[in-house]
Amino acid sequence: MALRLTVQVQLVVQALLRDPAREIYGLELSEETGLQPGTAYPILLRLEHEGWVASRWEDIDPRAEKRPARRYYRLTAGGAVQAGAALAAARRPNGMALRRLAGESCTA
Amino acid sequence: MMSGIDREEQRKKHARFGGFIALSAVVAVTVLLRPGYQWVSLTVGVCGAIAVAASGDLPGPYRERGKKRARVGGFIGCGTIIISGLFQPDWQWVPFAVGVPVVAAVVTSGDLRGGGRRGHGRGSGLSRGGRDDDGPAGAAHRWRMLAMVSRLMPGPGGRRWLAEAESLLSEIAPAGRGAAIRSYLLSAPRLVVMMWAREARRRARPGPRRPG
Repeated sequence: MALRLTVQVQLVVQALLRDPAREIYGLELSEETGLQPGTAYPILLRLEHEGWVASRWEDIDPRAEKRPARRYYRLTAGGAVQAGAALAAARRPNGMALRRLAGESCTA
Repeated sequence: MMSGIDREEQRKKHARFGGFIALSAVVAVTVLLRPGYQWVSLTVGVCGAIAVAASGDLPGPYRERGKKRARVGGFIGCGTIIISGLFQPDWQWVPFAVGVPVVAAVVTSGDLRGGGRRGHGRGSGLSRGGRDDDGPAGAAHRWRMLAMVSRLMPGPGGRRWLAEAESLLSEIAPAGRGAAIRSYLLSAPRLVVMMWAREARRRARPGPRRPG
């Protein structure tokens, strides 16, 4: 099933595309996008299922760091290309909207 | 050393185990020794077993314990009234008229907190803002809710969701923790469906299985 590029998905993709090589974790992402962590998680999971994003657990000793390990996400090489294209397409007005605009300007 | 929550969990486990043994004994003894009263044992046993099983996963800080017991007792009592009414054809309407509303009230009262009605006033459960003021008991309660929800997801997916939530909640500012937990819980139903759909597709796929 193709990924639907909702506004929230676009926000997450934009944040990841800012620096495609950078690894980002949930809290960082929700701060950058303004989305709640519970909203961002299903989006990241869908992006991962689509192969746009790869993730890994942080390799730390939770006792030494006194916090649980983070899950880091980053865009895959193919994912960065696809995400960029999808975002550009989403920003482009579609044919129906253009026709409607054209119709409105003719009647006016 | 055991923490307060661990001790509480252990006590609960013992209580559940004791309840299960007692109910099983009631059912077995009545069925074997008093054939005429089989319906009583059946009713009490079934309602009790369901209540005991369900209460194990009910969120329960210390102050909620009494409420929880009342709910379990109410459930057993009302269940008994309803089912016993089925055996008295002339009076079947009574247990239904009384029992069903009471059962509904008892079940829904499980979500009442702080004297407010669900969705009104201060709000309750997911509708209430913050809930970071209720100390360690509240934190344990919220954590249990997340753990309960994670069990509805396929094994590895649920564990990952819970681990990631734990990681994030440990770092988030206390003021935003309540909202973050609510967002996790609100997005969970969609996530459960999504994960199980994916799991079903994975299982239906021919060839060697890969872990999810």
